[in-house]
Amino acid sequence: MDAVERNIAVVRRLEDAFNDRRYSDLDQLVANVFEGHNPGSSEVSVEGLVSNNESWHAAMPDKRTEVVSTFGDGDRVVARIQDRGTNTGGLPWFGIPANGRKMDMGWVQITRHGQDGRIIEMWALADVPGLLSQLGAVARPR
Amino acid sequence: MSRAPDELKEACRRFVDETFNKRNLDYAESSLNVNFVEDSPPAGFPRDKSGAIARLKRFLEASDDLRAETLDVVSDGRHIGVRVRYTGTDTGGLFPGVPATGRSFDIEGIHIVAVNQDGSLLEHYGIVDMRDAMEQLDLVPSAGQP
Repeated sequence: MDAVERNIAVVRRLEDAFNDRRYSDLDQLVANVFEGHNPGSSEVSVEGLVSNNESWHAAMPDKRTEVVSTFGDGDRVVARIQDRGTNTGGLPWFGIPANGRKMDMGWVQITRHGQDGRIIEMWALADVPGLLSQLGAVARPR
Repeated sequence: MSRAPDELKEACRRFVDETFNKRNLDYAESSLNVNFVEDSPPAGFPRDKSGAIARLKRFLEASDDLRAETLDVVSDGRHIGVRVRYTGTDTGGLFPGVPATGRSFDIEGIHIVAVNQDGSLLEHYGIVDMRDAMEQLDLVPSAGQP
């Protein structure tokens, strides 16, 4: 397996770990010094990734994340990803109560990997307006 | 068969510059394959090449001082991944049905493009952070974090 294939496997294993809430795997997948960039919001640490995932699982206990497609180049991996679940727990950070509605949200991610394959930096953007519309919240400007 | 990744990365940077900074929609049109497919169409735009060009035109019309900067570009010779920063002023109505606010925005997008053997662009899936734009234009309250 070359470095690009290994980096792609790391990206897939990370989403498997989040699906199964198996956070002990993160040591092997994310570097000790890590920066997550979600444009439009604050920087995210490894602990932030875990707490985000826990919040999503509380909102949607059936949430599953599927890595739809990937490719790599040098130390980068690009992934198109889909999150699906049912809002049975509510998303208080968006002001959305539990309402049983379904989410099918796309997002895109670019990761930068170290020589050992672990993720050093991550940039991700999700279709938040689409999500809000699916969950029956305000998606259009007021 | 694929093309040299460096060639596609350079072509991507040029596409961003020509389309958004030089407002050269003829260049954009010549870059898209005739069978181009949009995988992330906004409401009201067809998923074909004509819809993609109409969407680019609409974005240019929404901001008369729009600038785009390629922040990162990745290619395996068959796909391009690109992170772009878009800055400008909402002079023409960035959101359908909402009059121009005159406020400025500074947002990012991440795009994935499949490239044909001849170098033309075949398929696009991308997310531009329009939620962030709505917040910056003061059209919605700021969302919290999960």
